[in-house]
Formats: sequence, structure tokens, C-alpha cells
Amino acid sequence: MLGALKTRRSVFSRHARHCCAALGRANVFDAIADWINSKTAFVLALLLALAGLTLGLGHAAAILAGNHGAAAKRGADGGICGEVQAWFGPQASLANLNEFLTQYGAIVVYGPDENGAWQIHFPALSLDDALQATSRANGVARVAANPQCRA
Amino acid sequence: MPRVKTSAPRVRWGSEALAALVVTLGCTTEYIALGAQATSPLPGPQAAALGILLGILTAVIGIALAALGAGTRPMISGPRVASTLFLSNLVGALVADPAMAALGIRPILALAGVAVLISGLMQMVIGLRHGGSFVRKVPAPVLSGLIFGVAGLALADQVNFLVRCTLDWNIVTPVIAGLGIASHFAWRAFAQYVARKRKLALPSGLSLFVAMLVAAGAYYVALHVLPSPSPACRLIGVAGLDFANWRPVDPGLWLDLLHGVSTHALLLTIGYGLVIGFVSSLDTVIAVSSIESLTLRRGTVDRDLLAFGAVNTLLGALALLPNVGSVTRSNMAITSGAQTRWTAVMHAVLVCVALTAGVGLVAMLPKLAVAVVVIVMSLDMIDEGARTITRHAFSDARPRRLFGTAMWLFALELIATLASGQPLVGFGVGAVFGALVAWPTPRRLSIKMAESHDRDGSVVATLSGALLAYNVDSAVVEPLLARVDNANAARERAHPGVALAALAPLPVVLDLAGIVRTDLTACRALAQFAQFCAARHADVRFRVPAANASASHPMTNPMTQALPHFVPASRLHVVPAVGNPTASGAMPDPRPLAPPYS
Repeated sequence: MLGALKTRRSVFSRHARHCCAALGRANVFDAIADWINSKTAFVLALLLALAGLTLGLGHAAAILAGNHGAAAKRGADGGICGEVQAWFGPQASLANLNEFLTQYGAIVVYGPDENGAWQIHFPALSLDDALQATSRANGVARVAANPQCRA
Repeated sequence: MPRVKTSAPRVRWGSEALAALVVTLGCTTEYIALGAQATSPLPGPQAAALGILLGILTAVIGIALAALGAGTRPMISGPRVASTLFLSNLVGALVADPAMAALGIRPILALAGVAVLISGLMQMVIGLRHGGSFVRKVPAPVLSGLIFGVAGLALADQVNFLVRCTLDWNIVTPVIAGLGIASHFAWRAFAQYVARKRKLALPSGLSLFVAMLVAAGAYYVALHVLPSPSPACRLIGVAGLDFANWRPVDPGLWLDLLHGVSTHALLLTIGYGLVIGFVSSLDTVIAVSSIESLTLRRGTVDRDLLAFGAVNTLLGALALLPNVGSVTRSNMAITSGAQTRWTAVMHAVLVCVALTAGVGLVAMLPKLAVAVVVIVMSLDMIDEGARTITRHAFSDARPRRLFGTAMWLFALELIATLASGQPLVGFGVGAVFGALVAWPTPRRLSIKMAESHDRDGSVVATLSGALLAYNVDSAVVEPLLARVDNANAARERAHPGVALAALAPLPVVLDLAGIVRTDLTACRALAQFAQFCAARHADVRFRVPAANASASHPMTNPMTQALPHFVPASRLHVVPAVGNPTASGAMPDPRPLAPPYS
């Protein structure tokens, strides 16, 4: 009899503990849900930051994996390669050069080399477009692709 | 003391100058950062400086001209985040077009200017057609999703930049960015603490300035320890800040553009121009509403849109950024004592003086500091609409269809914007789904208005049908506000020599028992209507039927469930539902009106 009572009591207490634990869990979940609801601005800012980080890292990875852009080889071995070789005529002025480079966000990578050529890198242009743009620039006498740069 | 003012306030030059100084300190950082953001897709280390030059010129020319043309005062405008990010996106799309990239940076910026010009023309058309409320027909979740998506894209741009600089300059780059971002929030928290404890109002808008100073300081400290990073991550520099780079009137450039522009680039320009025009109009309308609430003076939305349209047409022709009315800057000016348009004019002059004299300081700014400012501005773009939608969608608020639909619209537009990287695509998706959501019948709203001819002149409007985003402003808010103003004017005539504030508030009752469909935008518009009425010394009550859970009428009126989430309970007048014997027949009389906020 006593044993049965004890068993019943233990079953009851187990149920009670289970119920209380479930109730406690429910309260905890409710509390967390309430907290999240009360911090909507924070949750949204976190979401925005996560979206920005994911997309930004994706873009950066895409740029670094490709071979276009100033950072493509930065920090690795050879630095940026000037894919266009340009020879400037004697009438070319510094103002001409500055304006031309600024127009395309281009940079002089090296030069003049042993042949008098300047190596120029164009981050936003294909090789053909870069060659055409350089050939149209004021003061440029001759243009050629740089065979040392691999596409 | 609240009363409707119609006459222009007297100019207090000291207060106006002080407000202009505060706004200049708080907002110049924004113009610098937004300019840099506008040209961020352009290649080359001088692109940021060129953008900053454009941002500052836009502020100097745009703010002054818009202030002189707009009727709402004091309106502080300038480059704004949303429209600038659209422009930046357009510049990125044009750079990615090989034909445009081959033409160079200046033709690309000139074409972006054409988009600004189109946006200006669109604003002028909206203003001339009295379409101020037209821009409010777009559902709030669509706008919030658009703003949130654009903020995400701006953040992604800066993360991309920071990652590449981190590869160059290792862990110090994110540390500098983190310090800058933390200082922004620290200043905000400090300003709130001071306001709470010391009753002293520090301008929270200075947080951007503080963030830029801290990030710049950290950069220069790091330079003592580490070698300098690559040019892309160094300083703004002087080369791009050369006025010679900005030659908007250049026939050769336009001839090049005429011959070289592709159809794709032209379509992009027109599309972005229209969206920038729409977003700018909306921002300006919101700014006008906010100024109305703060100054208790009626705004002149259509005239303001016309003025901003004319200014943007000019700015577009000059290849500058769009100029848009700003809620935060105008609020900053008003809380600092601004009353007239002269604050904006003085602010423009101060920006011009500060940046002409301090161009060397701008050149010394690290690009990292500018990136930090853009990041915190993006985080600040989370608007109240997005917070409302998220809070209610995840808290099981009813009616579930109303909040669920809003959340789906918001999420769909956000995903479309982020996945495509094109806000234009996101906005298109949002607009299409917004139209689909509004399509089911009933779609019509009928409204009957009545005015009491007693001395209290109360206004009663009975609404039935569908109260949705596309009809709430034009059919309810605008006409009712006009009625309130007329009734107040009549009361002033009926009580000569007595200030309106000394009279009892004008009772306004909106009977919403006949509404069978509504959406989140309409509910928010009603809540805003109540605030506008409070500013006009009118007391609004929304009459809604009681929740009906009986078997014969299982459906509860949507307004009964939705409206308590948007307006205080004291503004609700619950009447017995239809079908209840006590309520059959005529609508019960409203209870006596009491002040809503005790």
C-alpha cells in the first residue's frame, strides 16, 4: 500500500516536474519572444548588418577571385599588371595625362621602361576598350598591349 | 499653445544663425559621406574626392534654392541617403556597361545627371498635378522594404571596400571601422543620458561627426605603427577635389555621349530617374508632414514638390546629386530655434565657407572614416514602418492577414532588392505584389461627411467598404483635414477675440463600422491623421464595432482588431456590433469626448 502510494507520488511528482519544466520552458520561450519583440530595432539592425556582410563579402570574393580590379593581385605575388603600354609624344602635358587617367580611374603601374613605354592599368575596362581609350587620349603617340600581363 | 498659424513668423536672426550652425555641424558629414557614396562604384583612387565635391556643391546650391522656392518653413534639404544610393546604383550599372565605361567617368556622371534631371521633371509634374498624395498611395511595406533593401546594398558596398582594405592593411581596418561605428552609438546613448539626467538636449545628429572624427583619429594613430595602406584605402586627397574636374557645360562631352550611349544605358537612366523622382517626392512629402506637426503651420506640399522639382532639374543639368527635403535635418533646425527659410540659406552659406576654407581638412579625411559614416547612415535607415511590421508580424497580433500581408510584401521586396542588387527591380516586385494584394473585391470606399452647425462645429465621417493604401490619403485624410481647418476657422469667427486653444477641442468622429477591408498603410495613415488633428486642436475618435464572437457573426470587423495597434485606446469608441439587439438600427451616439491623453 505504502509502496503503491510512493509510486503514485513519484509518478505525480514526475508529472508535476515535467509540467513545471514545460511551463518553465514555455515561460522562457515567451520571455525570449517578448524580448525580441521589444527589441525590433536591434533585430532589424542585426538583420541589416548580416545582409550587408554577406553581400559585401560575396562581392569582395567575386572581385578577388576574378582578375579585374585593383585588389586582384594585391597582397599576393606580382602586384597590379599594367595591361596597356603607352608612348607619349613630346607635346603631351601633365594636365593631359592627369585628365586621361582620372577619366577612367586608371593608374600608371610602371614606366618609362627600357623602350620608353608607360604601363597603365584600367580597373573598369576590358583590354580592347582600354587600348581604344588610350589611343584616343591627347598626347599619346603609340599604344600596345602589354604581353607580360596574362588576362 | 496649439493653434493654427497662417502668417509667416518674424525673423529672429540670432536664433536662425544658431540653428544654421548646429545643422552645419551635424549635417556636413552627411554631405561628404553621401557624395563619396554616389561615386563609390567608379574606379580609381580619386573617385571618392570627386563625389565629395559633387555632394558639397549639391548641398550649397540645392539647399539655398529649395529653401527660397519651398513654401514650408524651415525646410532643410540636401543630398539624402535613399535617392543618393539609387544614383550610386545607376553609376555602378553604367560603369558595368562596357560601352559607357569606354567613354570615361565624366560622361557616366553626365548621364547620371540626366537621371536627376528626369527626377526633377517628374517632381514638377507631380507638383503641378496636385499629386502630393499620389506618392502616398504606395503601400508602407513596399516603401519600407525599398528603404531597407537600399540600406543593405549600401552596407554591402562598404563591407566590400572594408574587406579589400583589410587584405591590404590587415586587422586594423575592421578595428578602425568598429571604433567609428561604436562611437556613433555611444554618442547617441550619451545624448539620451544627458537629456534624461541633466535635461540638456545635445544634438543627436552630431553622432555622424563624432564617428568620423573617431575613425579618422584611429586611422592616424594606426599610421604611426603600420606602413600606410594602398591608395584605395588611404586619404580622400586633393586631386579629386579640383573644380576643373567638374565641367557640366562641355559640348564635346555631350557629343561623345550622344554618339556613344547605348540603349541599355539610356533605359537604365530613364528608369532610375523615375524612381529617384518618386523616392525624392516621397521623402519631401514626409518632411513637409513632419514640419507641419512640429511648427503647427500647414505645409504647401504641391508648391514644395514644384520647387524641389525645379531645383533638381537644374542640379541634373549641372551633373550633381538629387536634392531632397529631410525630416531629420529640418527637425534638428526646428529644435535649435529655426523658424524661417533663412536658416537653410545660412546653412548653405556656412557649408560653402567651411568647405572652401577647410578643403585641406577634407582632403586629409581617410576613406575608411567616410565608409564608417555611410555604414552608420545605412543602419539609421531602418524606418518606423519596418519596425512596426516586424514587431506585429512576430507577436501574433491580429488581424493576422493584415500584418502577415505587410510582412510578406516587405520581405519579398527586400529579397528582390538584395538578390538582384538593383533597387529598381525590388521596387517593381514590391509594386506588383502590392497591386495584387489590393486587387480582391471590395475595392471601393464610400465616405459620408457631416458637419454639425452647432457652435462646436463637430465633424462626423461615416466610412464603408475598403479602406486601403491607395484611397486613405486622398479620400479620407486630405478632405477631413480640410474640413477640420474650415471648422476651426468657423469657430474662430463664431468666438471673436477668443484664442482657439481656449475653446474646447473640435470633436471629429470617424465611424469605421462599415469598413470590411483594410491594410497596414491605412491604419498608420489614420494614426497620423489623429496626430495632425491634435496639432490642429481637434480631438479625433474612431468609432469601431465591438468584437463579435457569436456563431452567426464569427467575423470581427478588421478595424476593431487592427486599430488598437496604432492608436491609443482612448481614441477608440467601441459600439455594440451589428446583429446585437442593443445596436440594431441607428448608430449609437458617441460618448462625451474627453482628453485622450490623461
